[in-house]
Amino acid sequence: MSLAMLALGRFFLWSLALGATLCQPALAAPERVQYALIVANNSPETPDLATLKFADDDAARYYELLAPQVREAVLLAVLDEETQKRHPGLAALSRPPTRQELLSALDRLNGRMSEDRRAGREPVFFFIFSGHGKRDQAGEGLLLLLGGSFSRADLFEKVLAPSQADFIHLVIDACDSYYFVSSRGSLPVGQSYAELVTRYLDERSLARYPNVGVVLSTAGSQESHEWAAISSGVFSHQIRSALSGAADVNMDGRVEYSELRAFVASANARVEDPRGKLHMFALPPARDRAAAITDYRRPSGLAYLLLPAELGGRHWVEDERGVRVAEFHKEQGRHLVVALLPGRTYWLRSLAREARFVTGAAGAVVDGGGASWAENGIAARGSLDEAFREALFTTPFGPRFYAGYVSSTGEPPVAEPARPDLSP
Amino acid sequence: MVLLPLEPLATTTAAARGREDQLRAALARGKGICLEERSRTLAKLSGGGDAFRCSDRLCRAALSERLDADWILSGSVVGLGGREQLSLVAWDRSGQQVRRLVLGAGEGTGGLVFLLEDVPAPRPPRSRLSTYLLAGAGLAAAAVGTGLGMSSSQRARAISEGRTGCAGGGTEYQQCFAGVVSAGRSEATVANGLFGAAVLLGGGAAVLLVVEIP
Repeated sequence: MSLAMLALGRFFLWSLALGATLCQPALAAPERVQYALIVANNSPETPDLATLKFADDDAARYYELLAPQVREAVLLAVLDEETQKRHPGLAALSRPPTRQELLSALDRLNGRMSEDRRAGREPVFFFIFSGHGKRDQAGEGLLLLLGGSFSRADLFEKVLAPSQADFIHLVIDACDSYYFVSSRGSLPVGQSYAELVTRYLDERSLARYPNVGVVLSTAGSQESHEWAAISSGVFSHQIRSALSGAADVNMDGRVEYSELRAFVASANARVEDPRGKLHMFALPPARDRAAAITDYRRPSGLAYLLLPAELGGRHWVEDERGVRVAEFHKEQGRHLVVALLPGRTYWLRSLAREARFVTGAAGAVVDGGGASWAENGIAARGSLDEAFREALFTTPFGPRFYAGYVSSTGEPPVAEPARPDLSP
Repeated sequence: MVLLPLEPLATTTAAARGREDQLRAALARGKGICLEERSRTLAKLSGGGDAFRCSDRLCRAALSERLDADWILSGSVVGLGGREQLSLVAWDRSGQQVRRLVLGAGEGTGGLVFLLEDVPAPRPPRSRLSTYLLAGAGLAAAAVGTGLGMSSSQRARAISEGRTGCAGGGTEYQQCFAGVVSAGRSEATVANGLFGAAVLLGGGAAVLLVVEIP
């Protein structure tokens, strides 16, 4: 064979290869799969701490919100009698909130996430705790489990370090939860030991885990609050409201950390009574500060309520069990979507009126603009000692509040909302 | 009917436009629906931004007036749960009759039948012939009435100045004089009647000018 024929053959083969490469379809984005571990404990470790009433309710509601969105949701909680009545069948799915069960669940979920990574999928992990927290004698934060505790060191060694998740979202509703993730102050020890401990603490710093985002109920050492009128912790109620879609200020179907922070800020903007003041610490993953905590564009087992732009004011959504699943104060001029369980009856309520609606199948949208309103026959006022709750959700949340909020904090805002195409 | 650009919710502008084009094509195939061209609608909306939402009847009526539409169809393309759905709102010219529909991705456009059921067919352009005829008749009545009125006035002046044209005396003069007076009165009566008819005819023409009669 002549050199010319050989060159021609090689050129032909090269062209075939190039053409095949160019004709390949663009690589699809990896599939995102989600897992949730929800832990709650009403009972304190020590008699100096009061038994909580609604940590188990919060866990049950987190489970109901996340289970339809994740591949596997694990609930570690002992549901009290009232909660079991309100959530029939859920007790059978839950395990006790002990240290052993927690570690076992982490192992199993990490195993599944490891398989996902090998298969080219992107696992996301939600770790949620509702209950008592405290600081130990060294000032390190602890979460109180049933018959034991889970320390800050455990968080880093057992949850974050071995995690196979692409992103981890920590939601902690407990006293002193800030100290559960952040290190304490200066070290009163000798230099060599200090070096060891500094290295120990550095390895247990969120800065080493840029894939971790945190949402904590306290910015300092304040106690978290429970709200008897809605059988929930105030913080968890606001977080779930935000994550159900009420915080999606640019209507892109995603709730980012800045939207969640702004939503909680607006909900508490007019609370002046220190008993009702809520402080939150929230930090997005350093690797992607625009990472969404929830993304309702993805297929899930949830249905959706679409509220029209013309509706404004404070409203909440309650189900047939009387569970207040979401609450918000909507700015007029923007739509709002709330993710709900499918095939259920709900009421959209304000202080003056209510409208009944039924959600469709999973994925279906209910148009709240067609709601038939009636006067609200239920007294919305709670007991006198909860009067300080009435200032909650009195500030409208929407693009205007959000713009002012991010401007004051200096953080980058979410993307502008998509607009209608006005080209011919 | 006017279809406003659909708003994207949890989806992209391009995706919303794609669904809008599909909807527009489906409406164009619908019987008895005269859908305005998109370019014409956009031209009417230019300068008003992209906010087409109305929260009350007055706003809806004002928008209908601005767009000169018997029916307006507005809404959003909602990209939740892994699929796209249309959330549509239609209202009539008065803004009072409002209909809503959520159309799933797999439902095709059959649901539009429900949304647009009993929507009146487009009105033919209203004829103004009757208005013109009434106005013309009124003018004619006014003109003739004016002429007769002037003639009656001249007769009255002539009678007062003794220029009746009657000669002679006795019964013959009386009969002539009575005839002149009678003629003048008749002219005045007819003139008054014609003026009244002119007012009625002119008023009727004015009513037809501003009010639509099916």
